[in-house]
Amino acid sequence: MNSKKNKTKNRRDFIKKGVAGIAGLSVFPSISHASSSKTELLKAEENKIIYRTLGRTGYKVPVVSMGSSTNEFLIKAALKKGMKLIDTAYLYGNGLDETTIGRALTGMPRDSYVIASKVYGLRDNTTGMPLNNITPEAFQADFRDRVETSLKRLRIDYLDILYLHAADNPELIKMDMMKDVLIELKKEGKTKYIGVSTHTNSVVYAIADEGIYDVILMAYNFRDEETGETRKAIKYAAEAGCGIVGMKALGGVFWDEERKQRINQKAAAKWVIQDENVHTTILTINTFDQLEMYMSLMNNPELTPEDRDELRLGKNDTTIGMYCNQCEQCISQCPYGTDVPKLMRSYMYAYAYGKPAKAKETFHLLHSHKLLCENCRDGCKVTCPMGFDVRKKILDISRIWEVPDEFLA
Amino acid sequence: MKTIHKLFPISFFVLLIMAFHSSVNCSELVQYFPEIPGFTRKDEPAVYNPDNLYNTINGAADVYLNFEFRELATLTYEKGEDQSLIIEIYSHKDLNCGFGIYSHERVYGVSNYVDVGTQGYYETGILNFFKDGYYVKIRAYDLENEEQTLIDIAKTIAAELPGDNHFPEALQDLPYMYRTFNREQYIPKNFLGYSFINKTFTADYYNPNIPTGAYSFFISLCGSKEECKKLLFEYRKFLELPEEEIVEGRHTFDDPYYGTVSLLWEGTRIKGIYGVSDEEYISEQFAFDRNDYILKIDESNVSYQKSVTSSSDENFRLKPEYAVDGDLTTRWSSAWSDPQWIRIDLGDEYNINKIKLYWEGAYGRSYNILVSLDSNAWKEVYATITGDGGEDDLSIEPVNARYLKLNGLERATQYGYSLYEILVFQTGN
Repeated sequence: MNSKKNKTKNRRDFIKKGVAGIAGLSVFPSISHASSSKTELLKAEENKIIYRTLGRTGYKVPVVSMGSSTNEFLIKAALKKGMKLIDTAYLYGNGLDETTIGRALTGMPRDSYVIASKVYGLRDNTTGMPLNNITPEAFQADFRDRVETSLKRLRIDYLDILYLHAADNPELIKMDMMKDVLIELKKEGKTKYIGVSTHTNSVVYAIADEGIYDVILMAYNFRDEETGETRKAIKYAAEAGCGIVGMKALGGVFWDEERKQRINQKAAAKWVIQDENVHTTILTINTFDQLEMYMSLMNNPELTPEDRDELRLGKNDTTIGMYCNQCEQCISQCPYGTDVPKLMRSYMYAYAYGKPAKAKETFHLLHSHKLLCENCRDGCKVTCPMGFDVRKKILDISRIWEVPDEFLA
Repeated sequence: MKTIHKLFPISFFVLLIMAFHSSVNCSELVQYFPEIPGFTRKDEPAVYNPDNLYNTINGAADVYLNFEFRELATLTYEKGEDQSLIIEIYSHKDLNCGFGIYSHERVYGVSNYVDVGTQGYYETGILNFFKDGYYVKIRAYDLENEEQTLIDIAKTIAAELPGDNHFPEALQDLPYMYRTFNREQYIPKNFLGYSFINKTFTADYYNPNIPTGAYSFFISLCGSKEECKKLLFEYRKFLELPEEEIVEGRHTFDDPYYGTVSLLWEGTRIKGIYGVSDEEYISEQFAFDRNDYILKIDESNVSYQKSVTSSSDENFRLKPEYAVDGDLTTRWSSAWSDPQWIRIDLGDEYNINKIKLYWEGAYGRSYNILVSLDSNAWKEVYATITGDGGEDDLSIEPVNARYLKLNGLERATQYGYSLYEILVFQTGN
């Protein structure tokens, strides 16, 4: 544990020391994107800025973008330093975020920034689908009201990107009532482009296939390296012309359940930037130091062996104590025949990959087993070769079902 | 088994310990879910804590964790086919954090405050309130008589929650004049985007009489002198100022993002202002002392804390009692219409000769003051049609009175009649 602490401190020191210190560290050869046709390098103030084109929107945006913030000055500073895309949502802070961003943008030329917001709408927070007894008209009217409220808070006439917020079921984004209201809002000029925010690969494919969505905001981070499933989905959508914006680049902020060991922010951001199909990624920025750090990494965007070490890549331990190897010995041990491996996969999605929505989807298939585990109060019959407390993990993950929507959004 | 990282056994051990300590449905919060007549509970309450679920969930969960979130219990209630509501009870570390998360989520521009907990408000479909370190959110779906039902439920919960209905004490030390009320915030970490400024109360101000108009005032609760010194040291380092001995008192920085930032290190706290650079004005703000707004009451005053009634109140937080509490930071305000009245029962008969009024911005243009011995026969002792607000020192012909009534006939603004204080004096010895 001690060595870990020292490492963190050193890392902080070298961030403080700035660009020169970082350059000195990258002595190992790695792929440079500077020469790529898709990527342009431009010089701005003290930092190099790497721009990519956000799919068919044509917006040229730096590869790092500003996540929602309630600090007006930090937002202004981000724009001044060359960031262009600011991401927020109707739900965030009950309007505090949009209102603050609106104040920060006041007086700035409308084409000097790209503003994206998200609306969730009247949906059931367990299934993510429109409320049971709601008519399309009522859903759409409410959705429009929220867009108008967002515009008012942001003090602008139109959004650059309007996302359907946290859509993790492919059926949702295929619904006519959903598509119609978004297309109409685009036609009316309330938003230049429309898109979907999601955490789920199957939704990314579905969005690309629908053809009407311009931008996808997708959870994507180094934890995908092992399977590459999200990388593949994103490539598919990018090739279909969708703009791809990454989010949740840190994959959970902390390594451990006790929230003590912080994930290296810089290395995690660099990992995402390596993927040219991700046009930009939105980052949570709480301090000016963090802003400087993310801007400066465009001077040296290569993922170094040290960065890979920080991200524990290629070590099979990105998910310490959370990784079920799907040996399936447990199925016969459970008196109720619970599909434990599937539930362990759901657990992994939530805890190790930071993909709660995906976890919920997986769990959905086996919902009834929540009650079965509750029957075995005196002890679980399953002896896992990995030593998992299977029952505890299943009861833990079963509660994702009732998580308030803002925790997943 | 593949390569096992050396941390594996430690982490796993911790997981096992947690398995024994965090029982799923065992939370003290569960006891605060009320029985609601006509409603049935759907399932068991669900309980969450930072360890078991939020560790890898980004998004808004981080906001809660930032405010030292401890536990959340949720329960759904149903009535008949359609009506349902969800109650969420959050517990945070302390009063500051409870207030912090509540004020962070307080809907922007909310006006419909309700008399629940320390503060709460109702908007269509939701009622949120806080009390001490507890933050409670109730959402309603297709509820009949929604507002009153939600208020009743919230009151039941608030009554059971431990703690007092007090706002954090430091809020009282934010200067009163020109403050934008009900937008005060508590920022636990990274105030102003600086990792060295934490645990800070802040408020926005608007004074139309100064060139810049808007400015902000804050108080950082460093907790110790060493921490205050460290804050100033780190700030200087950030600004690349030369090292020097840092002492208590005033410090002024030229900040690249906030312009002039004036700081005052006072014991274990640091106060600050940005958005204004006039030194005299800044000093006045730092000199703010809440006690200056507490009136000195002596024997000549016969109205202090006496029984008082009014024709109407703008809302439950602007009660007539506040006009006789000797505190110039609290006030009474009537509904926004004419005429209105406020009446004090002095409790006994006094020979009075002086009345002092402290008007808020919403003052009366035309009003009169009447006195009575029996509350039936009234005698006018003062009248004006050119009221100009501010402070009014009214000397009157000495008269015996037990009751005093101020009749508002015509308002000066679109708002109500609003008084910080009414002082009634008896003839001196």
